[in-house]
Amino acid sequence: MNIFSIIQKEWLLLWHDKASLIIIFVMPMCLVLILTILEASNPRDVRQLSVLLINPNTSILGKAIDKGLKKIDHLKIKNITKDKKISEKEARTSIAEGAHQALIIVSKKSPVKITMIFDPAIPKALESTVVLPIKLLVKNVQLAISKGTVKKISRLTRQRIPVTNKKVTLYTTYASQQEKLIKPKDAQQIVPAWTLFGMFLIIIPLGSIIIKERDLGILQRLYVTPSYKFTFLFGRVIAFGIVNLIQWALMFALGLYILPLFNITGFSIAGHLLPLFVVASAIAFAATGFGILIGSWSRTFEQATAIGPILIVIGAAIGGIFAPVYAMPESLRAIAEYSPLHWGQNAFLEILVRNSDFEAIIPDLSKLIIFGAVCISLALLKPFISQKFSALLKR
Amino acid sequence: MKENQIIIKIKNLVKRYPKTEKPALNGIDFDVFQGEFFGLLGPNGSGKTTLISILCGLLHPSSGDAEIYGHSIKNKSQKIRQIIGLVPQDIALYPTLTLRQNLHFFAKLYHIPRKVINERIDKYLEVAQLTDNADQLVKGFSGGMKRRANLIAGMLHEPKIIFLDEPTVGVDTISRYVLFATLKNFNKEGKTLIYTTHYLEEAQKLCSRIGIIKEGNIVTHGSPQELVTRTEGAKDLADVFIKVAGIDLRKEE
Repeated sequence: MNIFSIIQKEWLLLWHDKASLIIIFVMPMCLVLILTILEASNPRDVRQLSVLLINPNTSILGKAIDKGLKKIDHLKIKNITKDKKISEKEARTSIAEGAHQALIIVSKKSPVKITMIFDPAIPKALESTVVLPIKLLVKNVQLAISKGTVKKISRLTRQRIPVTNKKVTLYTTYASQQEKLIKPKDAQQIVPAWTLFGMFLIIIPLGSIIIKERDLGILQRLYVTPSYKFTFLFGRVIAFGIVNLIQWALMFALGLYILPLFNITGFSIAGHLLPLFVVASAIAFAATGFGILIGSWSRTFEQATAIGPILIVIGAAIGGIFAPVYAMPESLRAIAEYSPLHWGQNAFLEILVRNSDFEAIIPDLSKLIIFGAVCISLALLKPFISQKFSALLKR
Repeated sequence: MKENQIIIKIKNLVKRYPKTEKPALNGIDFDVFQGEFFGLLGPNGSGKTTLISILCGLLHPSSGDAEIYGHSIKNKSQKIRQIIGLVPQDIALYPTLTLRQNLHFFAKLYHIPRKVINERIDKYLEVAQLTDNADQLVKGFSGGMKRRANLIAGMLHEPKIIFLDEPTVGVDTISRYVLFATLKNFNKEGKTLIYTTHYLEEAQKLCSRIGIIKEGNIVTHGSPQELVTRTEGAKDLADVFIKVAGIDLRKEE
């Protein structure tokens, strides 16, 4: 079958191109390793976390917590205590879906219990940017209340009374749409993000092979053979799609077996292999399609090798690979929705971190597949589009 | 198959490229017969490569048609591809694969049966005197070796018609000799060759018939001897070319 010869040829070309092998295998693995180690120990730069608050506690402590939370700069607090449109269950769901990053529930009665429910997709380091100020706030409020009460009693009794704290318990958990809760780990979020970035790097060797074929006249020779153009395209998508899946497997294996050697909280894919494979396949299709598009439309080798990586970096930046989408300004957040890297990352996080079922990833999978198909179609239609465009210019 | 059977029939073929005033092919009409070694001569930009590209199905004509073994290039290009071979002007081989890997890949694309692929590859490697270099990467070959490799990649499937677009550009004497011998043998086997070149001596030696193309038109055709005899004051093909095309190709060479 021709298709196998084409796949074999693509692999041979890749195998002989050592620089490309380094770009698609070694570089992404180094990225995953180094960046996971770095990010696990340093919280990302965060502008504002969106936090929902349910605080029916009308005691001095309850009111003080209310006021204090509003003063924490990097938290955008939305008090939904009296909002009849959002129930507590709905609020929890919105956290599980990633619409907000945390929900704080203050118990109505004493002893006060503060429950903080986090979106499991936010990095662990970011949780502490919520938990620590709240702990501090509670301590300060407790201290202020205690001091005020003691002062009053001391004044009345003219006796020196020691300051004691009212008991407040803080409880942290994660929102989940499923009954089984996954406790998120840093590696669980960082490994898929950089794996995705690495998978898109496939466009560099893929684009360069397409351009070389065109520049060397090989394309002419291929198109004179009795094989259909579609066979070449199909063979190429399969060949590079498989390379992409090998990349994915290697980088996830690195997360599972190498990162623990560096004391990075382990990475787990237990029970999720099949949906993860489906997501990786959709990403591979999108990345391969994008590579074919870049290779077909670039006029020179230099153009492809410059434009391709720049587009991936832009896609990664707006797609939430470098910094979480919720940490971006409003204007950029809207653009993020159009980045294939964002769709891929979202699908990975839905499975690995939010423990969602297959249905939850269908929208992102569909977007990735449509993106890949559109890229391939645009590559195939290039001669036709160019001709039409030239004719228009001529007029 | 009869010797004088028309196998390529070109009918008023026109090709216009976008953004250009003059057509690249301006209503070409001519026939090629079975077993001919047909030379297509013309200055740069005269339309030689465009004509070959259309006959091979790489370009669509703006108007007119051509038939190869009775199949129209407009709607039977898939059938035509099974009976033709192309040796393009460029070295159309993957430089980072070995010659054997390249040949194996193209052999598969031409549906050469698995059982005979290796035998066929060995045969043509020997013809091109490249047996010892078969397992070397093409990028390490000399210019002449690349040209020979480029040639056998186009004839490996033993097509009935082979289009050769300036296959001897930049070739050393030894390689040129090997190329000529290979082409002559192929022609002796009854295959038809359509050959474009700038080298008039080469055309005179190899071709049974020559067509001179100028500004997208075949201005004259016939055997080299006929062309010389027909052209007043011409001693050789170069003189014919000066008279007919108005260009001295010896200077261009």
